[in-house]
Amino acid sequence: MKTIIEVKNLVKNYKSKRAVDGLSFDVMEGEILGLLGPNGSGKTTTMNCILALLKFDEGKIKIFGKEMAPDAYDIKSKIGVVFQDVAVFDELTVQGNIDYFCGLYIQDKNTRAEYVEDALKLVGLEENKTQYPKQLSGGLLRRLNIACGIAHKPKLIFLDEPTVAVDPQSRNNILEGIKKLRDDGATIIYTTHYMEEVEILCDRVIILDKGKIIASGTNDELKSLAKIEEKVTVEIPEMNPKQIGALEQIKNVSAVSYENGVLKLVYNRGKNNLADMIKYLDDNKIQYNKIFAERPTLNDVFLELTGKELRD
Amino acid sequence: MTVSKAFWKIVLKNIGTIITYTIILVSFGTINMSSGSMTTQFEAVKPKIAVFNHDEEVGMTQNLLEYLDKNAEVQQDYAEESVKDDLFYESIVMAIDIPEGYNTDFLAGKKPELHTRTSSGYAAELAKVMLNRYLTTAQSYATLDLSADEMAEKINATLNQKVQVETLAKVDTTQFSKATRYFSFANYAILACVITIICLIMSSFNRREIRRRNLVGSVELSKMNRVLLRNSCLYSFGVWALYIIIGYFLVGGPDLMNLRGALYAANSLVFCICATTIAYLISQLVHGNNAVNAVMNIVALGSSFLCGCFVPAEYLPDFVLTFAHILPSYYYVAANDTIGGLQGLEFGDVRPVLIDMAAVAGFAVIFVIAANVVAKVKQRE
Amino acid sequence: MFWHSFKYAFSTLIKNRALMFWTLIFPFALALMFNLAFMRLHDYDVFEPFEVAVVNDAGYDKAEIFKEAFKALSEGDERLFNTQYVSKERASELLENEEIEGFVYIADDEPHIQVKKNGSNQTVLATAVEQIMQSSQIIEDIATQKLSESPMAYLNAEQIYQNAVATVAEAEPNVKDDSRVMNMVVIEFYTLIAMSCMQGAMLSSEMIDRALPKNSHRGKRIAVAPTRKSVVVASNLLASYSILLVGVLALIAFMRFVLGVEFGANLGLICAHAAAGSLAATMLGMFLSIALKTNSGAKNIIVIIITMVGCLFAGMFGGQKGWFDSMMPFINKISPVGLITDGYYALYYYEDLGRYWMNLGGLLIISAVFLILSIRGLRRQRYDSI
Repeated sequence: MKTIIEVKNLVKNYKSKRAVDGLSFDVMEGEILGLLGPNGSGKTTTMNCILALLKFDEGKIKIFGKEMAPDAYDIKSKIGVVFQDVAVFDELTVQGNIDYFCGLYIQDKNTRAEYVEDALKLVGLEENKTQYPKQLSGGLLRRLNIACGIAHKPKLIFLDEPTVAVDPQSRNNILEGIKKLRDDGATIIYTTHYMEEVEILCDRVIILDKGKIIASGTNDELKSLAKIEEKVTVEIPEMNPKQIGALEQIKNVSAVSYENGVLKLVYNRGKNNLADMIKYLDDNKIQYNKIFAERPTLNDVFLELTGKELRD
Repeated sequence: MTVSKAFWKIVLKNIGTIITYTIILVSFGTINMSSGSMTTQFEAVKPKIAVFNHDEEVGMTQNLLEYLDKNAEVQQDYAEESVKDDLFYESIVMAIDIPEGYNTDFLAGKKPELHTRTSSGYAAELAKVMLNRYLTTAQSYATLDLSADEMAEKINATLNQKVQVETLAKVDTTQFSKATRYFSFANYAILACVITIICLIMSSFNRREIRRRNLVGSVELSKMNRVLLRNSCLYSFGVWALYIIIGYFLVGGPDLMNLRGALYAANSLVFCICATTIAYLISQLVHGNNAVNAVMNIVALGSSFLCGCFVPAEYLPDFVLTFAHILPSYYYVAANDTIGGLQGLEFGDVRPVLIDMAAVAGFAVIFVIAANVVAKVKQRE
Repeated sequence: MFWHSFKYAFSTLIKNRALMFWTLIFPFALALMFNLAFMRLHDYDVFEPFEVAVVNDAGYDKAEIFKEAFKALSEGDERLFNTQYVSKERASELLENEEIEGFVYIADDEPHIQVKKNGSNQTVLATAVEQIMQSSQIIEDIATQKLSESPMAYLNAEQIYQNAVATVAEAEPNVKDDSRVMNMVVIEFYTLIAMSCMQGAMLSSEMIDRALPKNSHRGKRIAVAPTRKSVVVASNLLASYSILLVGVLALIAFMRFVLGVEFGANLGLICAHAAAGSLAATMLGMFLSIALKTNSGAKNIIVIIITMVGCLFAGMFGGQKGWFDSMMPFINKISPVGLITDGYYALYYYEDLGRYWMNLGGLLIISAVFLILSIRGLRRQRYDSI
């Protein structure tokens, strides 16, 4: 596998505030790399530095093996970017918008017409192509925003939070589209603070906080960092403190809480943990309704590593 | 009370707009009032002229110079280069060149020629009349065999004849022309301030209303509209009060602390109410910041130009004034003009003012009805 | 690439209703209003006779000269007055009801005028009556002088008197007026053209905003594309400039051919001046877009201030431009509005083109300065923050 992007020791300061603090990472060909982190963790700044929009204080950035620069047009021609904010012309139709931005990359009219059609199909806007952005719902507008960024079939795609404030249907469409782009051979960098998306989509994840990488790896690798193995939630109408205390003694349980008729147990390792708990409940004739068991999420990993929630 | 709060928040946010139009009112109002180009007073201001004398200051030449000095404001130490521009912009209205040998030629009966350059305004016409009157008189006396002194004496005696003009007016109403101009000019500022802000607020609430209607139904809607209307009126009242206070310091003073001043104020209050209803109607018809701005400018500038706010109505072509009858500003300005010229303050004198004010109020009623019709039609859609 | 960008810049701009309203509709509406409002302001040729009355009592019967002269002023197509001859009571009544502008009566062999208020018509009436009085004085003087010259003259008294009347009637002021007929109101229209040109600053700053990553999200898209920024900037500028110039030239054509505003005869320079004025505004807009950060509200406010202050000093709002020129001469030398207005003024009013070239040069210098300042900003490729 080839390395598509190399970032070495990237440092970016906004006045006295350090936004990116010595980042180094590689992006490999054909992968979807997730940049995960809360708002203000430096995701977008990192992206803008890679794209040579921002000056940075230290570090080296190479794309396709060459140093990235504002006038590195040969590199730029192979990149597609979807920015966080919708950037389209209200005065142009859906088709016109895609054609305009695609035209900045593709000169040939026939090729471009073909590419525009493909992009419309990819994001599912074929039926809306003569509409104007103002007539589109929030979700469709996001899809248009993506289409404008990727219509020229780039080899490397940056997506900066493309699903913010999008309805579930559009979100699924967008995520499907991104997978398809990867399947067609593109390398993708996906920035988000939705861990669920990263879990579904990304081959590899970098977790950022305060401009630093706090963890990176595949989903499973990251989850193994969490000391949690399993979380169990049980609805129990009534329990006394003595019973709660007893639950803490069960094998592998690391924490127990009981609030508003909901019992939460956290296990740090092991399997078949449920059986032990249910046995205890049955033995003590404690009435219970629903039981959920969850594997740890990246949010748990983030919580574990930083002591705070990912989304706040 | 949240609706009211939001209302005044938007007003505060747009305070810049209000300040801008107020500054326009104050500054351009003052310029307009102080510039003399509009005056058609009977006691005509002396025309400003420049004189270039190439002759010696003796005899008939001297007499001409003295006459000009007496009847015109002759610019001292005036440079030839400034003539062209000053004539155009009417800083002077006439430049006179007296040729060399004017005195001797005149006495010799040679009818020497004066050269003039004039601007094209009213004041220039007056200056021409003034100069020609002297020259025809002098020409007539030149047919007699008189010495320079005798001739000068006769010319001056004749030109000193003045007709007795008796003015029936008991009150010198020229002192109120400033106030009249100010209040007429306020037409523009009032329309601009009231329409812009109220339309902005209405359209921002209309957007919110759509969202809210889905949530809570229409009960709150009618209540909200009432609150909005009440606050709009309060806002217009504030604009009116501001312009009255400014007017007091700028053009009013103690001379207007009487029924005349009260009439000016009442007239502009009625107009403010009418402007509010115009704003209400426009807010039903157009939405969005840009559209409101465009419509506001056309309405405010259009009615100000066509109804005699910027250029006095007496200078407007008849067909424009005829057309202007369909605009409320026409009656507002007409009322201002009448108030400025009122000789007495009895009911009989004031009646035409009240009729004009009633016309403006009538427009307000029509606009409210129209706005409600538009709203109903839109609701059905 | 250039034409691709130009095509879209052009089509998005003409679909921007707000900008097009201010550029292509508003100036026309204002021109029309100016025309209606100022139409009669300088029109002294069309003098309408107005209603007056003369009291025909015993005093009037005696005043032979006055009688004749006033009658002459009340007859024919070029008459000054529509005169009624009535009793004094009736005249007062007419005046009270404002059916006449004033009336004349003779008392103690002297004419008197009564008016209700002061105005231009009253001035005309008083001037006319005064002229009659003075003429009769001259006739009196001349006749007296002639009669005293020889004892025999009394035999010819009637003839001498007739001659004196003729002398006064024939006396013409020997004045040659060297000025051209001109109209100050044209300045209003010239400032309006200037204002319309200045709209170009709004157009170009919008277009540059679109191309710069620090000013718009669309600009970021363009910045990451493999297209030279200069190409996008130039095509956007050309699009806004061409729309502006078409608008301004159409406005001038509208003024000239529909409203009849005079511009002088030099059609080429009239257009050249519009082109230079539009260019200066376009460059100003570009500079503002580059110099200031995102908030386009601030840019528009600056453009409006430059425009309106310029218009004020150029004489749009009445007042005396000459007065501003003498108080603060530099403002009209550096304000684009002043230079545009003064250029048109020079083309209309000055035979010699020197003054025009000065104004044109001023506009080109302004354009060049803003262009140079802008290029420095455009050279910047990466930003400290966006």
